[in-house]
Amino acid sequence: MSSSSVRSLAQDFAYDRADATRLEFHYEDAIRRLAHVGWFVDVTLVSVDATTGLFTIPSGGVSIIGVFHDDSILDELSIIQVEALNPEWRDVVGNPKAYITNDESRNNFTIYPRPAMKSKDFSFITGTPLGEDFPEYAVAVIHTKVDTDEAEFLELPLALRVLAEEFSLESQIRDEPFAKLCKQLSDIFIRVLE
Amino acid sequence: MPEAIGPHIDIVLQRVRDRGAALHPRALVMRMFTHTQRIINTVMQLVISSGTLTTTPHRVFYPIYKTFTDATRVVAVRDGNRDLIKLPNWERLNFRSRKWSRGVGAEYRAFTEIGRSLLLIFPGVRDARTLTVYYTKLTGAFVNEDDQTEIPDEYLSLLSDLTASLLLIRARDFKDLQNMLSGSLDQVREGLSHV
Repeated sequence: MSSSSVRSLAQDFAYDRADATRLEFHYEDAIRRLAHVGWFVDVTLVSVDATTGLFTIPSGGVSIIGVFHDDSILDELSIIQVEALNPEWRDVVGNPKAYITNDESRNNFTIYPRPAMKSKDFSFITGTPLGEDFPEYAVAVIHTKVDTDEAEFLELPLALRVLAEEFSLESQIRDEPFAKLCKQLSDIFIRVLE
Repeated sequence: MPEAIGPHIDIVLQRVRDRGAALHPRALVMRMFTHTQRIINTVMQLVISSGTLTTTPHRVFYPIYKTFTDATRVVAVRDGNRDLIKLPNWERLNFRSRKWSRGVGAEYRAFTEIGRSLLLIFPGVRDARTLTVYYTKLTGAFVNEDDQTEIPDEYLSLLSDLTASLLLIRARDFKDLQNMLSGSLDQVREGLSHV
């Protein structure tokens, strides 16, 4: 699925009257929405420095689905829960048990307690970072991602979403009934495809 | 039996009162057929394909679309003649052990999808294996009017209905659209309930 094929399909419905630049913008917006829904998922390794608990969501990642430290999955806690557990939780160093996503920034997550051990080197001798070469004490994050190269079956629902945005804007081609119908149909398709 | 898409283009153009393809060029109608067939097949899991996945030791996560470029959804994984159990979701494994991601077993037992692009095969094993992955196929694009449909015949009327509905939307002919579209979507939802 590429931006050009979705925009081209949208222009077919629009008789080439839609604004090309705005279509690109609507397409990127639609792809980001899909990333929040969790269609496209990846696993990324993150290196750990001893006693550092704050991490950045891997590049291209949108939201976190799960976090592992070394060989264990961590529980998700809210900031309120972890503060109730221990008001001085930020100072605790030990074996990580949980991760917190709603702490300081949307792009960060925090591990509690802060890991005591630095992760082993990221040297992947057999070329399998998620297999035999998994570095001890590293963090692995399952996260949703923005992906524009996969899932061609989504081209039609995305083109309809793009059209809905384009034709609901104030412009010479504004067409509310058409935009509304495109949005409804796009939503139905995405729902049944989930 | 597969049918050429050309005659279906004729039928759909008649239904939207554009027999001469003045408003909807035939190539465009063919393109709509490509998309509607993909949606019907992805939802109803009608055309299944398979491929080989060579696993790597101790690994449980595998990308789906990078390995199987024509996959839309994994429906089964088989180790030789043995089907792996399909887990409803990956979180189920947390009840079994907190260390499931690095745990090693004698043989693969279960699989599930995480999102639509990540395949989880549990547990990791010590040696590389070859598994057969069955998935709903991304049906091909219609390029020529002789190209054949891939979904079963009983779904061709739905294919035409959905395609005609899209053309009516394109023509902003909302009066005729409602009956045709609501009937088609009901069929898609009904088909989904049987999957």
